[in-house]
Amino acid sequence: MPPIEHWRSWPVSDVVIDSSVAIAWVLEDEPAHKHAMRFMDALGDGTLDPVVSGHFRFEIRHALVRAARRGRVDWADLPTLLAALDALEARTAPLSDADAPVLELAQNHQLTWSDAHWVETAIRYDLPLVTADLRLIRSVPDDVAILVDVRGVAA
Amino acid sequence: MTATLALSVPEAAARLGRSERTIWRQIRSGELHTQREGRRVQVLLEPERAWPALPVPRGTREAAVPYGTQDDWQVGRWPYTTEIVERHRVAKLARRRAAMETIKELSRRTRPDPDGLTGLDYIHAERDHPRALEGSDAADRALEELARERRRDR
Repeated sequence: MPPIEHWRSWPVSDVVIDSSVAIAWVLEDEPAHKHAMRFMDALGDGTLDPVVSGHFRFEIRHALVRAARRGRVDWADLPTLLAALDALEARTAPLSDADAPVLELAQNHQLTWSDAHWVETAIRYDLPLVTADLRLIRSVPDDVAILVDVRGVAA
Repeated sequence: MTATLALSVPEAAARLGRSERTIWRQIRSGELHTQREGRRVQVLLEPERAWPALPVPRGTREAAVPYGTQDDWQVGRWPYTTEIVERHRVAKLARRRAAMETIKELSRRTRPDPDGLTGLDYIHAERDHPRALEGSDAADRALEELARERRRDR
């Protein structure tokens, strides 16, 4: 019987993508929109494979409901938009059962629980976290986790 | 108004990126609606849920789609031959590209925020002001305050 991991023989690089990148895909006026779209193309050709944290669905839906309430997106477009985001088939990393690593990140780097959980996911799977959130990038040193600005990835 | 699609279970599995086993489970739980045509069960899907997938050859249908969201790491039944793995990958990328086109098309229809707020501001409002700790309208109030600041700065 072949080793299970050997079926992944094509060149794919997994990356954790947070909600700030997804919202930049959706809203054309976002400062990082153009870069995020170029980055998305890399997901379409299989160069990169997206991983999201368990609270991604919650965060992106919250943000899109706000966008609709503020007139940026038509309410009628939301179901299709959410279905399309789901259809990107990003793998969902479950939220950590252990509070300690998340709390440690929150305490040491002044992060919110959500921010800390994104970073914890990247650390747990030993993957880079691609984000459009400069505040988060500035808060976390490179020796803790690799956070990559989406503007730089797609440059 | 777009018409509902009536698909066989293997077709629905390929379109939704789920295994046939998952489709049957969702039918049993009532999550997916069906109709009968003679002895055949057809899954009824709204077009926006059914992403175009590559044709899946008979006999390898189960292996050509991922096993639900938790099982995306797998490619289906053993043996994991190169052919099956590649077919799985190509089908998944085709579904992903179709979804990307939809996102691109809909993003062109979005508009600027009236106060210059960004989507990241919306996300920060939720992250920084969790309703469990600060009340149900805490994020709304924070965002409104930020909007006032942006208006003042203009």
